[in-house]
Amino acid sequence: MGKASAIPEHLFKYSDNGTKTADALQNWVRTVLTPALTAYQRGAAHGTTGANVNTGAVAARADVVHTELPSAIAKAFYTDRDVRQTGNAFCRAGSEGQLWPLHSAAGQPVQVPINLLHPGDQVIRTTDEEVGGVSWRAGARAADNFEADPAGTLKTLKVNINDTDFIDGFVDSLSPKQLKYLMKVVFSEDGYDLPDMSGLRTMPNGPTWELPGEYEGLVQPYQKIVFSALTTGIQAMSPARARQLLGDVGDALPKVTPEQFAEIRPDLMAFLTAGARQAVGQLPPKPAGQSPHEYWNDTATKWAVDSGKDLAVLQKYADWVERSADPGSERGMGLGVTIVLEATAGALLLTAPEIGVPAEFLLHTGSGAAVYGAEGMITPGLFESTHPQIEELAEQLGVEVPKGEHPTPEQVGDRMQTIMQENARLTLAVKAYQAGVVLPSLDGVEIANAVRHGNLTPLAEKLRNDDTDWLGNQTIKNGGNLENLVAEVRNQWDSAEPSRG
Amino acid sequence: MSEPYEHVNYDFAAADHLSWALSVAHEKVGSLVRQRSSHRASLLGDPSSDNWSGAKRRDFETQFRSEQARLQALAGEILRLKAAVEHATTEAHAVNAHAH
Repeated sequence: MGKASAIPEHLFKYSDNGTKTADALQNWVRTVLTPALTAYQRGAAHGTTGANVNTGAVAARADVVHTELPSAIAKAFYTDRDVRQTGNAFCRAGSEGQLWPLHSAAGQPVQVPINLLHPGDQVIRTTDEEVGGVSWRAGARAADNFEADPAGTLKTLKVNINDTDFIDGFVDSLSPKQLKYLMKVVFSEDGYDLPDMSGLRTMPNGPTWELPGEYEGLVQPYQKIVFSALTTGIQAMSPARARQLLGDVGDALPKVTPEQFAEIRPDLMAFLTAGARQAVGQLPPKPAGQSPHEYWNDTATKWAVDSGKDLAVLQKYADWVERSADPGSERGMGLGVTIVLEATAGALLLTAPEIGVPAEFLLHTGSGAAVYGAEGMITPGLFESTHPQIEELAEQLGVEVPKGEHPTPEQVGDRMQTIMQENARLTLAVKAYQAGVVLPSLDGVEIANAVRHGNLTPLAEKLRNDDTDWLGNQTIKNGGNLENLVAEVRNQWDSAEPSRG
Repeated sequence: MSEPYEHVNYDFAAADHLSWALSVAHEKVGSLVRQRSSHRASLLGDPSSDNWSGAKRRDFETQFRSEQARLQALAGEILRLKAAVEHATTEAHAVNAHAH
């Protein structure tokens, strides 16, 4: 248990001072500085008819005033505002939790506050768990209260969005039924009594003012707040619970417009990436007595394949994307698969260097997840297809059929899955490049050019033949090639064997 | 009001006002940074002191430090922006002097 202490009165004073100063500065930037720059640029814009003074250097730095400074001030504001909430949590922990005695039983000296402003200010000594527990329980209560007061609960959620304990409590306590209602409310355009969105354009605790357009990134509509909460919440869950939440959210998603989908897409990706990462858990340690060869070819591979199966729940999202992104069009299908691929690739491959899992196993897992996730959306459609459609698909996809026989939906399905798998590996390779794991040249193919020009066919060819052949040819940033990296990680793993079990 | 210069399309009054505003902005941002630091020291104390310790304090410290560094860097950027404005103003004066 981590010990924690605070003088709530000091936290309140710090918070109030900080938010007041930041708010005043933000107002001044908005009412004086930004108009001054705008007026200057209007009167001396480079390229204006007759202009013969170069103001390009000013234009190049204009974002400092328009976006960077307001954003930095807002961040400081919110950090200082949250200090007050922490003070409140300590107060509640002090009244309902278990407190540490002023003098510890072990006789250890108790830290003394460096400056007690008023003799009456109370020092609360408790634990991180008590303080976090107060917030967690408040989050759980908010979830319970959602159906009774959706508008009030959403406001509370927004105010506490940076309090991970509150958010964890909120997300963990949402029942599938509540999740459905929550999604229905935040994605509805009307018919629900949503809190006034203009309320989001104010800084709490300060004078109300409209945020200019440059603030849009800081102003979050409620769908984004909910997905941000889900992303935080799922990262505190066990793999089994994370899979359950992924499934519940997938079931709860209502039909949305293409515009709503476009807006929520980055937040959905963040949630799926965090969720997929959490759902697969960690590569199991090498059992005592198992040789490294057996471990990598047996235990670890089984883990990768099982993880892929576990992520089949992502199929719900692929379907949802299809229905939402571009209803009535075939274009949606590709996007659904891409979303699932990006989520698994993002979750599994991009974190590889940090979590020390060899890239080749993540490739298995990522490909497996993508294929399992995509499987269900391919085959039902095929079995509803007419014979001419199957013939045409088989020809387009290059399905080999013995002479005189007709292709079956199963054969076309198998071929489509193979293509999915190849594309999964391709996406993972591109992601690896984008993450900086692989250098621009991949076995003679310039990835940078391929990505820039959207021509991925040569890259796909390289990845088509064998599971891991291409690994040995890849140059990676930290020297050597990807195969060396894999070997290096294996060595580290083997040498750390005793502590890993 | 800008003066009706014949040979240069440059609003000298707007430039002077912006230059002043940027000076004030530099001072105000610096003041926010100093005030936060000073209140953090006097009210919140050392991160291990009983004034405020624990996991939430550690999170706060991480954010606080990064925000202070960012604000400090932006104060420097504001000065560079001010220098760019003043350079353009000097250039505009030179164009006029040459024209007259």
